[in-house]
Amino acid sequence: MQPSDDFTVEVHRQAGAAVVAPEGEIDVATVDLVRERLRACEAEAEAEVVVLDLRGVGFMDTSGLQLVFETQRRAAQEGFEFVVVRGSRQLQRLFEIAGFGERLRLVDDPAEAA
Amino acid sequence: MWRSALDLDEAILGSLAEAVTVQSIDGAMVYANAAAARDLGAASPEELLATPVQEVMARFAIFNEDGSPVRIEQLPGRRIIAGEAHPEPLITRAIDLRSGEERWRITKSTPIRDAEGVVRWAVNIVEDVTEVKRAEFSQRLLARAGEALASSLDYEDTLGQVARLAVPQLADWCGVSLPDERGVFIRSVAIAHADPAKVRFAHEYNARYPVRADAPTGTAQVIRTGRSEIATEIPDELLAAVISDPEQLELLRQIGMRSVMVVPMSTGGRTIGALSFVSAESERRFTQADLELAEELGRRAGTAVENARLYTERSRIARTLQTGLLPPELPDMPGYEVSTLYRPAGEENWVGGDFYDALRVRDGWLVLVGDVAGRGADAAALTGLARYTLRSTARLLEDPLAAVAHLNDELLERADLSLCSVCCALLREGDATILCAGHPLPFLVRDGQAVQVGRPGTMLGAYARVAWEPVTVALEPGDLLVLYTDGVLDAVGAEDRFGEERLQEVLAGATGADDVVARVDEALERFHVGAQADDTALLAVARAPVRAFRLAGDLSAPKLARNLVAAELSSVFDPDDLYDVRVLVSELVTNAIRHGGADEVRPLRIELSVDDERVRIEVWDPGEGFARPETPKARPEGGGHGLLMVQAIASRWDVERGDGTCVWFELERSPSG
Repeated sequence: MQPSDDFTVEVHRQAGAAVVAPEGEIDVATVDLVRERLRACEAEAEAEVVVLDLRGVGFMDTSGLQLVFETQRRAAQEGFEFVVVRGSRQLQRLFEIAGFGERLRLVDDPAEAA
Repeated sequence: MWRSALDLDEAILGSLAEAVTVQSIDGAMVYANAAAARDLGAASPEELLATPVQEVMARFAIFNEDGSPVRIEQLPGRRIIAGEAHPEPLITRAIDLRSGEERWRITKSTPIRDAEGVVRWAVNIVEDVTEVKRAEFSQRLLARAGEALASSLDYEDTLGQVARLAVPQLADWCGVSLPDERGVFIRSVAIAHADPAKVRFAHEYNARYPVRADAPTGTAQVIRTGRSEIATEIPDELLAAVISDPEQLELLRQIGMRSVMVVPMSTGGRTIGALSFVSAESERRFTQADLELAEELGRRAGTAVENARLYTERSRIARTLQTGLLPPELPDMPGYEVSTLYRPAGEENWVGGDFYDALRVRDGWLVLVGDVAGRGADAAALTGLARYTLRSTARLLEDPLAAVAHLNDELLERADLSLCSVCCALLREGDATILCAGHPLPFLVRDGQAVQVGRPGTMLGAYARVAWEPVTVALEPGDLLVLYTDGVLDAVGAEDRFGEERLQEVLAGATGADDVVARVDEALERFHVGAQADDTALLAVARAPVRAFRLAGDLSAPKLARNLVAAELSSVFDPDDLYDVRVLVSELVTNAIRHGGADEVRPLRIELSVDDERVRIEVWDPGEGFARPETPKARPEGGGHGLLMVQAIASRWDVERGDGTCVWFELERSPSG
């Protein structure tokens, strides 16, 4: 499993939230790297808010959608808050088609997450 | 002494028509006869002899035949004094500066020696050859003008040449004027002067002071009335009276007009323009003879211009008509590749009796090739009728091929026997229905093999109530259909005609529509002996081949696949639709590697085809397949979103079994796409 070179995932803290910001295209080849980083953030005791920032994602298929779906369920079970920063309009359309819109907390900027 | 010696001959010399003068060795004129006195502008020989030579010379502008001024040393008498024994006679053109009169003369001089053989005098005999020279000039001018006018249909150019011929011998300036297209202004189409700087000056003057067609004098007046105008003298008061603008008057004064004539360019009693002649620095005054010559030039130019105009107009009409009949630029046929060959026989004809066409009809495309009997203009007219009848009816009819029957009726109604053969192919998704009416059967090229398809039928225009039997053949991606006229088959070679077998060989192995045209064109070019006897047309149409990609089934496959497909479709879809395509390709390829058993050893395959309405993408994997769910749903535990996307985005999709499993989807092309 070799994520392509032009895919990176940056993690940082912002106002008490752990922000996971992938850059590149999320598909079956790259989604596990994002998953790994999200799990790591959840594991940190102080992270009560985990943010997935999709603004740097140029393309995402349902591999990414599946990850969001999973993480949201874990948030409900584990008791942390999961927030997604909206990506492109085209990315947003996937969430709408999948019917994710109403259950997910979507923001425009990580600063709104905390 | 001289005088007394010649006393006896005085009466004879004095009565000679030729001017005779005698110069002494010091250059002084010592004798002149009555003709010499007259020619040199003196009342009597005595008066002439009393006038200094310089003063006499100053009364004239004297030119060589080539228009250059005559230098005093060139005069034969001077050359004798300078020591020459037999100077060449000199031909000169002298303009009397007072009267503006032009005279041509030949001056011959002979030395007279004393007893010791020393040259003492030069005897000059000056013969007036004005009439001869003018007749010669007129003839030459008219002949050259005729040549120039006949040399080209670009009459503005030839008129410029004519103007240049008249300069400087007939006039210092010559101009050509025509009314502009709206008849509002008189347009100067040519100006000639020996000095290019003056020509530029005149062009600038004309641009600055355009002549209105209703101007009361000059070119406008001549063009209106068809009558010449001549002003032998242009006194400054006249200029000042006609020109009110002081700046314009000043510019006009710079030209220094001495004498002007404007003559009509006329043909068949109509005046189509005017020629203007201006005498300026040469100081010549136009005469009746000049006017007659100018008028003759005007008549010839008028006729030539009119002929050129008529010819140009006629060929323009012919060209316009022909353009309407020419084979059309074929439309872009998405999903197909079309290419045509068109070789009308004969040099003059752009339009022959052959035609082809391709048009959008109900649920598909109609491509056709036809041939009307005969050649030349009649055939071209019939071609137009046939093509437009087929076009307009095929578009309207439920069955586009029924247009053939309509054309048959149309041709039967014509008074003259009008025969036409045609081969039509109605292209619909996956097949082609072929109808042949008196026409060679088309070839279907598949997998490198060319076979004739269709069934022969009756030609059009011969019988009423004819039935044709259309034949439908599958047209797979990559298949080629080649329609052609008998000009291809009947091409004459060294021993026989080109024929169907040769065509079949040429078509075998053709890789696309353009390739067919290139092959046939080249084969005919090589085969032909002598001039092409018959019009030739060919239309090749290929069902656009499916683009297929084979990818190793690893994790890089989805990205590779969606990028390849998006690149192929970048001209078909806008960015939003393209994003949808990328999502769906990504989903199906992901499923193929996750569930379909595609891996490094057993690759997955993507096939992509585009027609004018939709894009179809098939993703093949080596797996056992699965039943298409009625309504794809995401599983509660996650997963299953891929088909949900396909269901939501694709226009149609399904799962099929074949050599492995295929999941395909189609997307409609947006009307703008």
